[in-house]
Amino acid sequence: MCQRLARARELSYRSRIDILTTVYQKKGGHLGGSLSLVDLISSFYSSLAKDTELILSKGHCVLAWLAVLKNIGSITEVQFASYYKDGGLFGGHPKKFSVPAITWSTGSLGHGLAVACGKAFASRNKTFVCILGDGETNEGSVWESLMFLSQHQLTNVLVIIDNNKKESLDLTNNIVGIEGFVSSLKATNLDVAAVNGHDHDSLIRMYDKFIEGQDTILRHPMLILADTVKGKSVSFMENDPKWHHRKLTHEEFQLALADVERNS
Amino acid sequence: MRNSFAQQLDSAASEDSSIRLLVGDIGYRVFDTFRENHPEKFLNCGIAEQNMIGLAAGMASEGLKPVVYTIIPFLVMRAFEQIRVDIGINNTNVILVGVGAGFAYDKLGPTHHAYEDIALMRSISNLNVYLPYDGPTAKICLKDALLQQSGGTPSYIRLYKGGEPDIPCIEKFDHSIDLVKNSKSSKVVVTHGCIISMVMDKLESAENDFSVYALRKLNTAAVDSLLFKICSRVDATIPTVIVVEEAYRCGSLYSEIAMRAHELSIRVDLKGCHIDNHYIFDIDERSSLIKKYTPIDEVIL
Repeated sequence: MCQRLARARELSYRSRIDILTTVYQKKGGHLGGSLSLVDLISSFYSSLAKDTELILSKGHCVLAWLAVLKNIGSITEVQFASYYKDGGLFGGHPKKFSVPAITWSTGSLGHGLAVACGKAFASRNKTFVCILGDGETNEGSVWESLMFLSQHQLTNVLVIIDNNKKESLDLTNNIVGIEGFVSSLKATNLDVAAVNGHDHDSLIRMYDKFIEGQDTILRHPMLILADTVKGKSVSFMENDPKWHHRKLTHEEFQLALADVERNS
Repeated sequence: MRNSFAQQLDSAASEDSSIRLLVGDIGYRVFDTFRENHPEKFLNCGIAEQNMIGLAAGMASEGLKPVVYTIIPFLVMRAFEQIRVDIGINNTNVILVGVGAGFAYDKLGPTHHAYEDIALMRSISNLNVYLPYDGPTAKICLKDALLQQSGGTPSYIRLYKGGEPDIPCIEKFDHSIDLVKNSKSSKVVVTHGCIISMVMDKLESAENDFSVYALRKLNTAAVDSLLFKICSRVDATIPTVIVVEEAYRCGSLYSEIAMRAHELSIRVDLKGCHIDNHYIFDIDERSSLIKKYTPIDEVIL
């Protein structure tokens, strides 16, 4: 476990640097959400779930996924460097089969969980992880999919909500807060739990529990509210909604890198 | 038409273990036999059409052959973005089946009418669009869509309801076009869907003689083939082509014929008969709504 934990932390550190550098250089990508997501992805690839099919429903944060894929050697430096480049392999959202790890094109919010449920319903012997944003749960289609997940007890799907509490223009609570939504979920046949979305130890244990529980342990599908911070590790981004899609000046880039170094 | 479709699907499911029928809590009695014969292949997804499309796309990506069935507005309009993203962009071989074309759900009002679905489904670039006009053609369309599905291509099949008369076919062309009435005159009616029976009724009392073609599958190749066929068989330099559709003109067969005739420099005297481009609130039977809003009598003289 210690080794996997160290690996996940190292992956997160390297990937945060890559996310910042890429957005600064390419002038494209969603910074805040990528920084809230990256520990969920680095822990995923450091856990027993690493061979599970991952559907990134909050597709606009694909940069975090690509950075981790690069740092585990799943994609090359050259491939990663083509992000947002004219004629490049990767744009601002996951493109199906651009690389083997990415099996579904997402971008429009509220689509990924239904697809994950369809896959899981068809292939009960395979496992699937689907990551959504908290703002994404504003979409009614998410509710439809969760109802289906609960009805059919698809324990081979792990649903994670990256609860960074901010949307594009404002705090989630000032738009359509999700507390009522979460309370409703607790009344369903889902195993709803919260986790610190930046604590690699807890995250790896969560993924391991999902995989190990496939045989007997899991009584209900797991839905995890990952408590995260949008812009995590960069002090001037944390708790400021404007970093949803803003680009970095040179000075901001330098400050952000220094913050990541300090916080890691 | 619905029952013919259901019979064909039941038969196909007996031969192909991958077929799955997903419904949005629609299809009372229509799929009783299917459910009896294939309970494990039937899934009522509830009143959650967006989720149903995503589910079908996910199932297709795992090797199943999903057929999704519900009322057209709930399928095509409600879940359009799911169709675009999860079936179109992700290119999954799902068969979509919409029931209640045009005014089929007449007295249920404009929320249940379907005038815009052809235009919407034609805009999904990898989707086949089938427009059966009776029970036998519903079976033919499903068979073809299943073949396309096995080849990896998604489809949309536009059904009416039930009780439509069968229309004898004289000759089939190109897997897409049926000649249902032959004439030596230079006047041609082109149509699709169950409005064809009203066209045939009208022709019995019309002063002029017409040939009638029905399109079962709407795409550019079928329209090109139809135009060449019309031009090659009529004597007149400029044939008269009347397009009768239970749909808005926007994105319709009429607009495709007009566009292709222009692009191919084929001269036709083109007339259209469509549903007026507005929402219709009249509480009336389908035949009356068609007479009022799709006035066949004014174009077929």
